[in-house]
Amino acid sequence: MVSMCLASRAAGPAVAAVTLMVLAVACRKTAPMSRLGCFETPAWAEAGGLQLRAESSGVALLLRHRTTVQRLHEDYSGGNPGVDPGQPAIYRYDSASARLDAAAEDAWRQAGGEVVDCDRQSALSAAPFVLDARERTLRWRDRAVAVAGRTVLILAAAPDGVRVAVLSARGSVAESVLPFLARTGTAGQHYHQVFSRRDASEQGEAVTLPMTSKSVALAGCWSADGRYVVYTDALFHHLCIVQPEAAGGDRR
Amino acid sequence: MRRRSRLCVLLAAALGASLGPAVASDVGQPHPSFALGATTSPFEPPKADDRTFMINSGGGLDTGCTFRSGGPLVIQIPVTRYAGPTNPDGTLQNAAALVAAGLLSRFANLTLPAYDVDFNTPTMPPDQPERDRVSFNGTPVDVLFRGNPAFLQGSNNIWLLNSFQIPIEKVKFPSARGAAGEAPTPEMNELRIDIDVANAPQGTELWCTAIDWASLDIKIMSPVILIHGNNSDGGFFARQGFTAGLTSQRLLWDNSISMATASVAAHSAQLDQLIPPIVKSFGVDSVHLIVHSKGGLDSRDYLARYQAGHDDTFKVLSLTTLSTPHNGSVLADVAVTREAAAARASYVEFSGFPGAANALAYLSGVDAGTPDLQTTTAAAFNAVNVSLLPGFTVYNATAADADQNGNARIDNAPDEYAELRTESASLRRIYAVNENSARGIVDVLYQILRNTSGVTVTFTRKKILGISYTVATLNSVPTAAPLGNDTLVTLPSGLGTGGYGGRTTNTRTFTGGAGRNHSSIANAGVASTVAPWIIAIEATKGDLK
Repeated sequence: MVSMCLASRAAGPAVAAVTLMVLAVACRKTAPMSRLGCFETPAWAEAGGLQLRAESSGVALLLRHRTTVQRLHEDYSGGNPGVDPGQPAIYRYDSASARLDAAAEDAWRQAGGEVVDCDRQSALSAAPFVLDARERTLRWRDRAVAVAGRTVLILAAAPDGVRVAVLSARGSVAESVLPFLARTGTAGQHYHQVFSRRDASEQGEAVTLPMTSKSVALAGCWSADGRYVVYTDALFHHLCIVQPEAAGGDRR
Repeated sequence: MRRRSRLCVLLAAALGASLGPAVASDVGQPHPSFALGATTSPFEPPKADDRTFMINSGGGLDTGCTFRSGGPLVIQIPVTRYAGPTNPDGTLQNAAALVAAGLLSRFANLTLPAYDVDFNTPTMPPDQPERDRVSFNGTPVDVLFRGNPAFLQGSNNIWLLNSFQIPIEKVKFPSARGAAGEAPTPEMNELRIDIDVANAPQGTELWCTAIDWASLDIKIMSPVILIHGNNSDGGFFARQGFTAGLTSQRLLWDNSISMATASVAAHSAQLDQLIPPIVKSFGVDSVHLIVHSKGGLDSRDYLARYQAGHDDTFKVLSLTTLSTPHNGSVLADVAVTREAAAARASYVEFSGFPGAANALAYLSGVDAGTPDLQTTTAAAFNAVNVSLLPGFTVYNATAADADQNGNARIDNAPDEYAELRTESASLRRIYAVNENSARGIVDVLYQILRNTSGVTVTFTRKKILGISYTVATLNSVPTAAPLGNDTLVTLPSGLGTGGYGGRTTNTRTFTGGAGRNHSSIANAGVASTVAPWIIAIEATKGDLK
């Protein structure tokens, strides 16, 4: 069960908006690092894929969730003609107010920024960083890299080719009885950090995320402009948005 | 020397005019000039690829008609394909075994157009007709293989295509695959033409020749790329014995792909990046994919969406899936439905499932790959993917039942899940403490798959101590008949019955005493089963054709 900094059940759109605002504020209180927003995403809550697109103004980030059927419909140019895939659900994250609100498809089309498909972004190489999948440790070339948590969960290479986001957890991985079905996650505090691929130097400080991955694994994705890193769980029930630049990092 | 030669020729020509057939030589004859690198003969060179190694420019080629004193013609033919371990001299260590296994042609076919080879032109003693000796890697070709002529063949002032059979054990290959996704370092094979050797003892040189291009054609098996399943790694194929099985079949393979756990769409995008450099490192333009579990869905997505972009550089000859859940797995339905229900409810209950089904939630989880293993997701995937799979590729599938002794359950004796423990530290720990507990857990997985075709969920409100709670109930939709399964994938799903199965050419189910679980479906015995499939495919449409 993914735990959030504040438990919440959205009972309706109005309540949801208020809830999300409260949740964002609460998250910022418990996680003192600036520029962190964590939210429930009741409009999603289903497996699929995530796309990101920043508004040209730079003020907001749009997050577009495609269900599996919607993704197949788009990726396979029309998909199954006998199935109406419906419209992907979109959220707009305002970085100034740290609000997450539902948005329309028009907002997505008009955003202007480059679209990032998080599935495709996962193909970006993080080399020379290597995540040892068995030991759950991080190496840069032959050198071990110390991270905030004892268990390294995710490497997410940024589109700029320089930075890598690293998600780690204080707890250890609980091995699944049937790994091919799923891996279990990691309990304990989770941390977001950014490192340079050039020299393994840390960019800014570790950000404490108010989510765990004990039973549902997390994934990370950068916006095209490198201003946001979005963490979601595998079933898209929750997300956290980190702004690395705002957290004090310099891009080397 | 030249002058003497010419005098002899003139005398011979004069005698010939009165005594019989004309006596000739190339001395003083006009010959066309050749541009370096151009195709100077009427024979178009073959297209160089991973089985035809061709040189059309460089030393020894396009020299103009060359006499012995201008020779010998030494031509280096680069072989650019890795074919296995080599000896210090570059020849294959196990060429005979590869030939015996049908993975390599017994001969390389050496072809070269030669100009103005006066092989049958009459001469007056002591002059001799043109004899241009051909050697390959230092040995005359007639010594290498007695069926070869010792010399170039041809006629006056014409180009003739010459062919020789080179025993494959005399051909030099690259000693290693290319590093970091680069092509192998080419290994040079020396073709040497000693011109007009028959007149050498007399100290005359009467004949000249030229070579336009040279090629070596070899029939050889394409390598295999292995792609792992969900939350696994390339080492899986070694741990389960599959790579050893392929090696015993003398197949070349690569299991370097290890992808972090992710969705089918994410993995197919990664395969789009990972497969091309592996193909290039072998120096080939065709490969076979053998894949385990979710790796089959990843590969199908890759083939349908990305392979066309690589068809100019390489083809995928075959895709062989080892227990891929082509129709999904009810276990994924249970895991995802339970997790989604838990987000909405205070409690999750199970109805119609084996007693310990709820424990599955605590012994496994949901990762980014799990949702794509659901039966509904697989159905949606099949609806769009199957028709877009490349027609060139041949599709094969295997599936298995873990119940070897046919008692409809998983046992410790015989140990029907030992290989699952190899892949799961958690299961190993449980087994170490209590074998029956470990057996029971695996049996729950087996029974769910055996008896459940789908999962529904209902939400109800219940009051406990006056407090109202939401309770989610997962209901089992029973199967029409018990389904054999390997503890993750049923037999029909592994074969893609009703969907992907319509595209398969070779299929095999491992049941009864030959049964396999979801790990041992990748053991050496299965490798020996699927190897003949891909060798036959190679002989039909690949580099053994």
